[in-house]
Amino acid sequence: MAGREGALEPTGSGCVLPSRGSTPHVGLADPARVFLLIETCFYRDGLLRALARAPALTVVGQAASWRDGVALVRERRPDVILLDVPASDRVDAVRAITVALPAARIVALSVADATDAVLPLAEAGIAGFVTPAQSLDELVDVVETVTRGELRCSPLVAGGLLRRVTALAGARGVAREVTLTAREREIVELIGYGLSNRQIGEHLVIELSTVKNHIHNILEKLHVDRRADAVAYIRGSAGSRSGPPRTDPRIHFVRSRRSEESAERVGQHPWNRSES
Amino acid sequence: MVAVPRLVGDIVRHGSGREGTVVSAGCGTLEAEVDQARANVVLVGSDEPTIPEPCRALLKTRPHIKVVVIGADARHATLYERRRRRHELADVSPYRLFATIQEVLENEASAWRA
Repeated sequence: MAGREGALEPTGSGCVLPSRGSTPHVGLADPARVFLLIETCFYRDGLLRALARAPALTVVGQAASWRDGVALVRERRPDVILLDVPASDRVDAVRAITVALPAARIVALSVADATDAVLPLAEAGIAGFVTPAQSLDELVDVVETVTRGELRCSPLVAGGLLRRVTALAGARGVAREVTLTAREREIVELIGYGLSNRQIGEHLVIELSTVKNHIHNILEKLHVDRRADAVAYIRGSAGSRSGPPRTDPRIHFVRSRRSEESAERVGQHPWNRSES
Repeated sequence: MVAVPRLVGDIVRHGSGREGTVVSAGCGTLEAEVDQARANVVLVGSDEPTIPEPCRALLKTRPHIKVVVIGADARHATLYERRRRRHELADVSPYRLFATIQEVLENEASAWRA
């Protein structure tokens, strides 16, 4: 239970905004234009009156159904949309609004302070969210914050968002693969074909110790412990940038060993001549 | 107010005007808190479909009290009173909620005067 509170003045200081910073959408003297796309009558009517007393906000419209509201949003062109729809409709609603008015910042109401609740909405396009446990003051503050292109969220959600960004970057092969040199990518590919360190050295005509050094660096760069994990990582990141080898190096390796034997006989290195 | 989500509580405080004061319950028993605050309406946050048991008991010992149960998502509210009566308010605006409470209290006062 909450602690005891005294009688509150009905006007409440809750709707007074702190001074506004620079914002991409709103000038210093301009109140943020807010649209209430709120299906819950309690919140819609309650916020309509409460926000009317906030000098830095102007409510430019409201709708009780998000499907009907999207057209109004397009027409009124608000800076911020306060959105409250059933959880099952949230992602669809956010996507529809984002398509209708890409510049608008969407703030979702009644969202649990949990990564699994916020992430799908973040991916759909929300700029901020308000939990049921936040106050009217904080809601107004969130609206102001998103107009500056900032996000106020708990450390828990911030951590979840960062992990998601990392996972997405890893999936695209952007974050870590690009740090591999061409030689390192080549070595990872050869590991993937099942070649031992010695075989890789022979294939690339480099010393075994050099191969080991390369592999050590690869594992360190990719933050993995085993050679197989490095291969899985590179394969999972949409393929290496050097592209697949034209031929399976295992075949090439066997062929090369034979060629090497014959080359030794004629004094010519097998990789210095074209293969038939 | 008992276990009411903060945003809902703020809207109630903001919208209640001068008709009364709004007090959040402390750590004591519900009866003690209601007596101390001299409350005549208890607003309870709950997603249960029925009135919470402590509130049911409260209605028996304090028959003048009205209990409003509001869902955590504020999508549904119900007003309970002693005389086996309840008012389904469903998806309600805070202002209709206040008006209904006021109407119930006034009706009861009229009945006592008569």
